[in-house]
Amino acid sequence: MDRKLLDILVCPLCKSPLVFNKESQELICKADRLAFPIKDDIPVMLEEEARQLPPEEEVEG
Amino acid sequence: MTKSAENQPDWNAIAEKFDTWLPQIKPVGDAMLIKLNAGKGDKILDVASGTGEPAISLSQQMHGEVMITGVDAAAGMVKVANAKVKEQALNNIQFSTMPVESLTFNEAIFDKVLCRFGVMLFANPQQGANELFRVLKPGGRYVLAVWGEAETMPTMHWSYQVFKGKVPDEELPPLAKITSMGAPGAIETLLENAGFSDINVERITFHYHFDSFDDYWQVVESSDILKQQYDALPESDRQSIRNEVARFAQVHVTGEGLRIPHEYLLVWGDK
Repeated sequence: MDRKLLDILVCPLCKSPLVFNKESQELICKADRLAFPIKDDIPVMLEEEARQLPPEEEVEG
Repeated sequence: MTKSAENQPDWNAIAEKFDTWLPQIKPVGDAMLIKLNAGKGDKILDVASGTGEPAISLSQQMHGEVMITGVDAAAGMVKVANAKVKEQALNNIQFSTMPVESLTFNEAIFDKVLCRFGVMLFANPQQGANELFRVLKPGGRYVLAVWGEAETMPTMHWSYQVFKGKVPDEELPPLAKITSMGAPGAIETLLENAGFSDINVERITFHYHFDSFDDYWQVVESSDILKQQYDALPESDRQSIRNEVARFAQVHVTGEGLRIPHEYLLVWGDK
């Protein structure tokens, strides 16, 4: 996965920068606590496809 | 097959088949790329890039010397585009699925922005145009293509005419939507409201070219572009649809096969 695109993507809701979790292949918005999936190298920046982070899940970075 | 907003084809469902149309609209993408005038190092966004055009053609032309991002709201289309990138081992081009009326980029990120036959299909074209303006750098170049008025888009016009009265109005092809930016002044107003002041519009006629009517109809059927309308018709009416379209098409039969003129608006300017 090329980092150039990941570096310019922001949260579709609040336009905050995103944290890339390589292990889970997700782009995470810490403000909205949403994780956007990267499927087959394609970032899916749709709110309806995002995973709501549970309160106990910490976000590094 | 699920129904898309405002009777558009279900882009996810037809994604694998959509490329049968790409050769017909290639002249449009080629003209757009000339106006885009990409230079080494440019960051370029292709909005509503569908199965990857004209982004992939641009990538091939520029041999990886520009950074191209293609976005579309239909995940199925993006998947097809991305497969082409991998298959052709292209560099510096990536695709993402995102809402095209709420682009997931900060403002003033891109040097150049493309959008081929997308703006008029957005649920909210003004919001989409606002987003193109927002993500473009000051001085950056935008190039759009939108369809002309209904009577200058024969294939869609025929489809509308032949299905009218045979299927419920809510199942008719989205002729008004697809040609909504073709009216005089429509695209200019949209872009002015978005913040653009440099707006150049050229109306261009190009041709769909098929060896025969049968060749054309084979593409219509195999691409599922009218699947929603067909599904709403009784089986017995389907053959008559083909015959009616063939009668419309007759005037465009030439010694070189079927040549169907279509008009589009090539729109460009600098922010």
